[in-house]
Amino acid sequence: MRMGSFIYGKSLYHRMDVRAKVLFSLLFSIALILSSSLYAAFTMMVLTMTLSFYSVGGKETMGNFKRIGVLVLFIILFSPLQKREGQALIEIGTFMLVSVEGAISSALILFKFIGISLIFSLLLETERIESIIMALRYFKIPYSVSLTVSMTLSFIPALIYRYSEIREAIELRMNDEGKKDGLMATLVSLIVSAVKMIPESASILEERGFTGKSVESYRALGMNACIFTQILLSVIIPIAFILWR
Amino acid sequence: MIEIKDLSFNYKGEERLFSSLSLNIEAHHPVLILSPPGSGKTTLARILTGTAEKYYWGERSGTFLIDDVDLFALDIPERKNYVARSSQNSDEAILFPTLLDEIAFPLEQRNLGRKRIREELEGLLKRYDLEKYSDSDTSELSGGEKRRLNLATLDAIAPRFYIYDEAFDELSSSWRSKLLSLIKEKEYVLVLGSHYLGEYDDLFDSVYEIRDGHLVPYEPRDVFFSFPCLKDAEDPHLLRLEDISFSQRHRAMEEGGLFSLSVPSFEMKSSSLYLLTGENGAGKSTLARIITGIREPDNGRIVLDGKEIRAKDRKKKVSYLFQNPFNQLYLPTVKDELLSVSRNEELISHVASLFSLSLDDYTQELSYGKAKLLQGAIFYILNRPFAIFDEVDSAISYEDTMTMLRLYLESGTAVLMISHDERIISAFKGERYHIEKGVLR
Repeated sequence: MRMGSFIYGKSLYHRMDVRAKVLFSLLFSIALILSSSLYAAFTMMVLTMTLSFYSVGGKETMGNFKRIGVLVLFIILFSPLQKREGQALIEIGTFMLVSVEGAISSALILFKFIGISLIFSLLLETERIESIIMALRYFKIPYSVSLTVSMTLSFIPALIYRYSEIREAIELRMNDEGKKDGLMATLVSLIVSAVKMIPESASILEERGFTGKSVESYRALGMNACIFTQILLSVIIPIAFILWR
Repeated sequence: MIEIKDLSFNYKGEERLFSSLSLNIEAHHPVLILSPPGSGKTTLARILTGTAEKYYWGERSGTFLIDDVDLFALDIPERKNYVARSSQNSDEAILFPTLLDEIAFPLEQRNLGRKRIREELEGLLKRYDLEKYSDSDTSELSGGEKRRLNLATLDAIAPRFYIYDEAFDELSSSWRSKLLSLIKEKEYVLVLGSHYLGEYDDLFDSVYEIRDGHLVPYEPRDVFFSFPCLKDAEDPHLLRLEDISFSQRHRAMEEGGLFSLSVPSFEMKSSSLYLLTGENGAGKSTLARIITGIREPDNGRIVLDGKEIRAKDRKKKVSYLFQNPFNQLYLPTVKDELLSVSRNEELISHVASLFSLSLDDYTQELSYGKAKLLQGAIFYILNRPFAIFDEVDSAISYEDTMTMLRLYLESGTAVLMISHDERIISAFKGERYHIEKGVLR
């Protein structure tokens, strides 16, 4: 089974053309990766957070934060230790634990990571996967690649969903002594289930006629002046951030 | 005319599953094959569509002709113009996150053109009453709705020969009747099932069963629905639900996406049998999840023996046999699964024989029906005061269903049975609940 992350809404970002949104997400991420300015990266992160808040609401935005919470914690805890030259920020006796440069560099990594994660989460929450695929095909991405992207994008939330489903099911059959094995049992079951999906999905694709050749989709994307303006803005805004140094 | 001649098959390194199996099917004369779980029905369907050899390491010989076209000479995508199957496991057959994409995929592969695809999509959504879910996420559908989606996708392939693998399971009574009338319109049909449903009467000219790798004519036998006589439990318990309400919104849908369930009153008493019925998507599994503690209601109380009981504690008191048994199985062999709930080897051997299980079988290689029996055996060992059988009768024989019921009830467990099977519903002896328009009555 596959599933999407789309949340119905009528926000400005929901109404934005999917091609503009895909382009904006990609270029915005590139701008974040290339950014060497702490202020620029911070502004971009705040922009994505604000966009997320207004498009899918505070609860979903916090949910996106929770999903990357462990990685954020790792970045905060360990990244400053990687760079320890320059002015000291935290010292233990004569040992410099964190330098000012290390803290700035870590903050930059953190802003980039949060910004990129949120902008792609937002893309998947405000656009249906099939629309994203239409946009990719509009940009001349081959059919089989688009289909793979589509199945992968829907496979990840499906695995998360399956994880919680299996965890619940296993919790129900656990006796008190078995409780400690719950997490391991869930992970094993999830891996087995994911591996089983490979031949099943491949065989069902072929049974439904998939040959890898390009076929006409039942959906179509139009083009007008308004969409052109959106695409233009989706290019200009990230470029402005790339130029901000 | 469909001719299957001298079909032999085995999975690599395993014993022969079919030897010289032959079957003829005439146009507009549907054929039914009834056999117990694990006898090879799904494998037969996969052999005919071509995936058993390519994806499941199978070895095959024999011929398969439709009007003299040799289908074994065609590759899988070419063969789909002639033959296609609906999968027994609805979950495994869903490839895309929305209904529209799922049904549109085979239509796109047929190169019908955008306009025609849209027309066909509209027709199929209407035929299977899925219009209101067209934008919904497939994961948010109920078991019966997923089954209808599978059937719509099969119709979108539009082969000449339809194979329905346990397709009636999980469908409500009205949808079973509708599927029967749809089957009558198809050119060639093979239906695979575990037990003879009352709805099958007058539809099939030929009914077979698989015995020792061959097809033999099915011998009708009277099913004796011996619902066990109930006796007073030694340590009686009473579980009550009072003024429960629950609602949930479909995330991806604009309107009409709100599902709600109201339970004014519900109770289960030790050693008693209850039946829960309702249309597909009515909320039967949701109610089961609330009772079990997987879902928390928005309002209301759940009381065990006079004291309110938390969700966490309900999980230890109620056995819930999911619709899809594989979601509750994760260890390598049947023996490992049973040992995970009891270290008493004598007990697990005894329970395995009660549930017709072989301890050395690999769990993930079990058929859907055998997996259901294993699921039943695990919870039987856990011996909890309450149990919910969510469509346990699908994919297993009536005899196995009755055996499971008897074993649970005799051990003092209160059993709530969710079923769509008309024969079980009409013969049922016990208290009945029905969900209609979001309210349990």
